[in-house]
Amino acid sequence: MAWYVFALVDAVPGGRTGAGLSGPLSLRKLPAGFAVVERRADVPPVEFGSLKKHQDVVARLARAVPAILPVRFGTLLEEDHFDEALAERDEEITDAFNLVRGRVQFTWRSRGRKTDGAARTGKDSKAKTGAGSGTAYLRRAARAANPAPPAAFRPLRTKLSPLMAAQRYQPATLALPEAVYHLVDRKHADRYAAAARALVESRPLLSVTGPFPPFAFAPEIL
Amino acid sequence: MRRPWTTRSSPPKLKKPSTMSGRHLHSTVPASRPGNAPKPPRPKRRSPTPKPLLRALKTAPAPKRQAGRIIDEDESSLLDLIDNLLSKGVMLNADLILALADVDLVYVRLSALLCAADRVLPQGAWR
Repeated sequence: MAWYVFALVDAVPGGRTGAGLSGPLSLRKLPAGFAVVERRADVPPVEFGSLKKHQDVVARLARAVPAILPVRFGTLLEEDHFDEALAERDEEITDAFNLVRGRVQFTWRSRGRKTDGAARTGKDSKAKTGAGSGTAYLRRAARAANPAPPAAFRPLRTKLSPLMAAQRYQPATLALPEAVYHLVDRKHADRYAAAARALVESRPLLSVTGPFPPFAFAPEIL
Repeated sequence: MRRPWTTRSSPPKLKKPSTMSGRHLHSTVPASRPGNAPKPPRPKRRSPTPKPLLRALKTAPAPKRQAGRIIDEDESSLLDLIDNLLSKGVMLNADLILALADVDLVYVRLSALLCAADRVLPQGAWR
């Protein structure tokens, strides 16, 4: 039997950990915290029911611990592979815990905006050719690695920056529209939600959902 | 008003005796008016563009807005679910055994990350 991993947490969840997808949850001690796991023989199917259950488990855990790092859906590890997967990642995980501790995620999307894939491709092809100076090339590469949110999302920064701890912009992919994720202190979540509601009323093309566990701020290794 | 078959003005070119018995024949003309009575005046042809209907549709957007709102909400929750859980891809684990004549020859333990190409490859590299 292997361990199906839901999330890494920095402390033992308050109260009962409850059930996972089909069995009880348990904790495995890690150098940087705990892994919340469930004994399973196989990966749950990628279907709406199991996705919803998985998200509900993570959301429930998030309310019971100071910091949570959701793990990629479908992560099933054998006993001996468990430590191997997280070996020498303690520092990275500790940093990630510090970032998300006591915080929740809000997700912003722009409904009316079409994806700018074509425009991006044009810029990319220019970058690929290496036209211009080396400095310009490096600047373009840096922009491509950390793209700035487009103008549609600019009001978010000006109106909500005092209430948010971190921001991440995810350009549109083939499957998902572009999104801006905000990490907000739990103690500011109500004020943030009120400000966000006012912003959405004045700009109907923007939409916001949340609060969620910090899915978008978990390190890529998880 | 639909004209009954008995008052058809242009009969079919190939005239065949009807296979229908009299019992099956029926007419929408009321019995009080005989078949050879003068035809009632035709009702006025409808305007090709039924304006009142269109106007009515234009002035009743409420159901459409309601549907749009409901779809948006459902879509939003599903979108968040996919975004939160699948945008980073999913882990696939598999055990593969290649066997020949009931003899296991090759065992492959597969642990793979299944993810959209545009999430793991640099921008533009996958096009």
